[in-house]
Amino acid sequence: MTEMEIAQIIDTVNMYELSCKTNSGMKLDNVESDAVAELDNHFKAIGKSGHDKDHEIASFVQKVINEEVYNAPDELLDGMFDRGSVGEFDDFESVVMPVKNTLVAHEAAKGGNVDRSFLDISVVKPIYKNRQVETDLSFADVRRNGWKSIALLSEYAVAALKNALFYDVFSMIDNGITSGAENYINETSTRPTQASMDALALYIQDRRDMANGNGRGQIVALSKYVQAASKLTGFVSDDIVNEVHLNGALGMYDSVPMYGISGAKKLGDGSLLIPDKRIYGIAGKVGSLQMKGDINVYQHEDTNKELFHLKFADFTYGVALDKTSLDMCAKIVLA
Amino acid sequence: MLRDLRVNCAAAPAADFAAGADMATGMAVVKNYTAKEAEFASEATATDIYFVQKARIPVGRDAAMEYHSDYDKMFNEVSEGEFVVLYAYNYDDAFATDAYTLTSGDVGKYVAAGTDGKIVVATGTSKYKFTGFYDDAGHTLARIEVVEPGTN
Repeated sequence: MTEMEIAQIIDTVNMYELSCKTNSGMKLDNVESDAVAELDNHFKAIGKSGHDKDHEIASFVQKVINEEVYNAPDELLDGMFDRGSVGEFDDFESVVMPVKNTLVAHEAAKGGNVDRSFLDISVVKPIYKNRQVETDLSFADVRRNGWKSIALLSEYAVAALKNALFYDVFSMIDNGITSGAENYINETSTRPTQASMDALALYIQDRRDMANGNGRGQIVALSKYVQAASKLTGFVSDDIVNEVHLNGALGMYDSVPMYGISGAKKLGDGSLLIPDKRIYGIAGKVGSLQMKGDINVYQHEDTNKELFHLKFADFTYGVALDKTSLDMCAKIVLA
Repeated sequence: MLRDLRVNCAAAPAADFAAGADMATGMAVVKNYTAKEAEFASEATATDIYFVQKARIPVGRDAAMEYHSDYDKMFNEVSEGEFVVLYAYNYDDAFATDAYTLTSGDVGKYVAAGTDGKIVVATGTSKYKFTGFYDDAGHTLARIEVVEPGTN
């Protein structure tokens, strides 16, 4: 096979999909089978010589990550944030729009003055997070498994980065909503009750923009809480029971869609995808999430230890949200 | 931050004094006519005090940003030597500042300029009365009215 054919494969086949299909053993179509055969031979040759002249392993993984993490839409995050990207050496500021109406209409006698009131455009500076993953790929592994080892690495790198981003975003939202604020709903038991779920749903209903396509808002929580919210005592009907029986949980609570995050999926270090003991209600966009620059995948050949060292660096993103924009989000804190 | 709440719109505040030290808008200062500088009072006083203000004009890199909050640092921080506008308030004016060391228990008391530029409870005669806190789009300012001179 020639260099041209490899380049053609990268352009025509969705590398992330190919990686996932390889990892799960799904049936490939003709184009994909050919692609896998070429890639397999190519990587096995690299594993044999221990020399990856053009850092192709790194560039393959980088392409997969770019396709999936930077370019793929994500329903949940897209509904919560203004998404975009800024250059590696850029900065950005976010404004809370529309501006909150803080003009006050004072009751007044005619012919005099009242205190002035003002509008303030709240400008939010982002907090940047930088995440990095490093791993080793032995020559023997690449020699034996060829394309499969690259596919595994690619899919898992994407998942690790996406999950880290998700976790960071929800942690910032969690820290931004403090006790005593209107959007902090305290629940004294370990599971949500009708009182706290009603308060959350009401908070969202008051603020969401139904005219907008995605305007219903969403409730996001670990699946165990969505399950509990689907089975509240007293608020039942045959329809509700049937839906829970068929689907496992209610799709909506008081007209707000519920989105359960699996408690079994964990980050690489064992922590859950979103903070425990929390139920989040999102009424609209809470801020701005911008990817900063591109991820860089660096590769180093270690012929003495017979491995490729891979470094996934510069996965940087900025999250801009503050007290005012967080008005669009509420949380229930469980005991 | 200094906000005019109910004032005479024909006042002519002095703009030819430089700041004698690093300060912020809303702070209370006295005029040093010899050095032509605005300085903090040497001891707390309510006589001949002025409030620091500056025009909200973005400069340099900051001008590239599309929106600015009135509370942005560049509009409110004053460096030593920078020229400032000194607002004076007269009988029956009402204004608000965020440079204060007051609590809700001090509402209704006469106040004066402290030695750090912040408004404090007055120990002598003062014409400035603290009428309560003013919520300016989420920021808490102290609302002050100018009344007949009195003591606490």
